[in-house]
Amino acid sequence: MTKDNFNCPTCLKMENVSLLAQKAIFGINNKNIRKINLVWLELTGCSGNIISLLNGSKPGFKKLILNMTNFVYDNSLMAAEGEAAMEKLFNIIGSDYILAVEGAVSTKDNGLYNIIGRWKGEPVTAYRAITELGESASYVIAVGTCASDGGISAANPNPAQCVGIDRILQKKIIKLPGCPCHPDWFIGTLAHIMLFGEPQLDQRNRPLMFYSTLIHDICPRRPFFNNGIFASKLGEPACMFKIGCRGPVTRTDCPIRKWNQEVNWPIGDDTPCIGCAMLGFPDQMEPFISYDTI
Amino acid sequence: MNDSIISMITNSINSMEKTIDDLIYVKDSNTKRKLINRLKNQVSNIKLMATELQTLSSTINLQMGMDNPQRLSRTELEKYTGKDSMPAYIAVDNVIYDVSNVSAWGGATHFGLSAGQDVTAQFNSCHGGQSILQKLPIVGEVAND
Repeated sequence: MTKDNFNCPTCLKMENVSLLAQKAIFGINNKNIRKINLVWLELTGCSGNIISLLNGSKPGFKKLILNMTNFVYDNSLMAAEGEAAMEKLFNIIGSDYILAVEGAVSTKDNGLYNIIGRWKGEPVTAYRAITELGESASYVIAVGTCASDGGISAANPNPAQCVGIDRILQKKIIKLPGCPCHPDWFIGTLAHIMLFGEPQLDQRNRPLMFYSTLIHDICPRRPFFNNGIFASKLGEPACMFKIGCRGPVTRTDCPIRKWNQEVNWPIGDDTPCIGCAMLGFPDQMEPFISYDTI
Repeated sequence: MNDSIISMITNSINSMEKTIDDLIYVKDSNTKRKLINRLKNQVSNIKLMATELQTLSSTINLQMGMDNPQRLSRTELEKYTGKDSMPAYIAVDNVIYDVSNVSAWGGATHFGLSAGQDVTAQFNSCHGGQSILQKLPIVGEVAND
């Protein structure tokens, strides 16, 4: 934040994640709050959200697992494997923990299309894992579009009959859609829960602090739209509405938060927003690009 | 609204004609000046009413998309896909709207729907009761095939 924009509410939003995380860590260090157990469950997806989280910087992943949380389980990152890992996962039931879930739930044939491990000699389906761990978690956070609404895993023809976790659990799910979820969106939400409880959510259960504004409304290329200056192909520095940009229907703070530690974002790199954080992605956001509409 | 303005303009013109008749016969310079002032006021009023009429007419034209609303059959509507230099039209409740420059219709598509279609059912299921349609330019109405 510079002198020029310190009063801008949009720019102030940028500061919220690191401030929240700092407060949470400060509170833990001063024993005002306690470290929370964090379980990261990967279901039917691509592991893109945990990779995205590794790219976080407010704080970085190392600080997240050492100073903010007890990182109990993630199949991609934990040292334990096999039965030992599953033991850790199921032993958390009964304790106080936050469950972060990425990936949709495959429901066909009682979930047999996605086995996430074996425990006590039995295969454990993603369906069973989310049902048992979800119901006893103090908070459930759907990280990414697949966990939130089915996403790519549930795209037509959806052979494994995938659904978002809200179709399985009978409790409130905090949704952080995005393909992938921005690390700030997860860390900010987690820190808010630790400090103040559930953040203010919109009608689709997305935290307002990240999902309140249409991309189109804060897009740096909005003046091009207002003046009818449209790109006809990728690479043209103009509004990409005519070639199918979904910024006008997608609510995230990508234009200001950007990605890869504030390096850039899709429209900044001359590709249209594909609405990856929107309900109905990907089927209802297609076609991602149209060349014959201008 | 238009009719009442036209009626007011007609009344003003009648008054002006009467003032002009009076002016022809009046000899007193003081009275003549008063009549000329009255005439100027009446001209000014007519100008105001004409401007108002023009504004109303542009608003109606803007909403109608053009001076003469189009009547398109559903088969003709299918050509207006927003592709190959054609505008993007949709129909809701037999009214045809131009969504070529509506931001939510990027690439002439909207949540899996394409322009050139009657989207009444989809509109009612997602936006029923909302005032979205009032902001869209109308180009005409659907005629039976």
